[in-house]
Amino acid sequence: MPEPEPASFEGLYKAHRPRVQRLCRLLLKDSFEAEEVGQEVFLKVFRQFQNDSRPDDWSAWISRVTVNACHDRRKSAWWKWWRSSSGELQLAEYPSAARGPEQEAIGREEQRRIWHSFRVLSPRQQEVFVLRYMEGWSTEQVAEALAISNGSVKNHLFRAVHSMRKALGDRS
Amino acid sequence: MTRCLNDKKLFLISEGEGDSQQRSHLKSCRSCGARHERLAVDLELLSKTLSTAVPSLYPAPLRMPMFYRSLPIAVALFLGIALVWGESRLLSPISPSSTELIFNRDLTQFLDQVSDALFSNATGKDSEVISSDPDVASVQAALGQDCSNECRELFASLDKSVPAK
Repeated sequence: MPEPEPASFEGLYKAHRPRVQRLCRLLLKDSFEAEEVGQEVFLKVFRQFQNDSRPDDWSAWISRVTVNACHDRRKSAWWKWWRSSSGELQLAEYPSAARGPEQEAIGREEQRRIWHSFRVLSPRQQEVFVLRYMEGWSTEQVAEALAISNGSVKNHLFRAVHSMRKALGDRS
Repeated sequence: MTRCLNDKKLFLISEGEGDSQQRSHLKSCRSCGARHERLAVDLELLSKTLSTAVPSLYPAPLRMPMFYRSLPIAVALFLGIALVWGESRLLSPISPSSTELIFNRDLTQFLDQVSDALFSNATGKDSEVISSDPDVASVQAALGQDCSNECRELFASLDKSVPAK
């Protein structure tokens, strides 16, 4: 059962902002872009909050709006042209606060490989992976949110997982 | 005995698909079971890494691609400037350059001098010849031997008309 949603817009903002920012940073290439799209998302949330027809599940609604906003941003011709030849991405420092014992064990090199393999996935594969494994949606929910078939979601998922595992290499 | 499951079938089983035959094979086959477990571990590792540590990502500084990407903008800017300049040249009235002005002024002065020399000598000659004796003499000296008979007679008449000093 979903947690009760905050009664005010400020409460919604506080509750969902970190998740929206993380989604944007996963799906877009730099943090400035992610910040911008995150603000656009909360503008939409604010408008929806003022409407009478509020969604039952704000969390799912916000996730869907965020993924679609990132998708639209990446589809824009100017963005595509500008980013297409921006080349390799460099990983800056990992946030130290987020590094627990498990993260330490994974190792920096492994994290780098995982991130790089995620970055080279197609936009659709990234979206499907994020919604399915990080947001915990079912394949049917992902299919509905992205307006594609369930089989297509599974195909995208398999390709994404396969290429990311390939990048991880043999760890035995 | 059924054949071992491929990666896609294993993945689909983990997504809740797959028929009973495949599931029973997965239970009985140690190799497939190990691969299936490995897949679950990898999926957890991937999602955990991506969700817990989001590093700051930024495009690597690439000078050449940026240069090449800026080229169309530079060319467009140059063409725009050239177009505006060309248009302004076409629309503005033709004004001669300073060298042309100097040349025209010199030419005008020269032509004035030539015309003065030609016409003042021809028209003002009679009055001056009549009025001044040295001038008549100088004209006579200038024309000299080329002077025709009529000219000589004219000078002679002039000599008579001018009173002796």
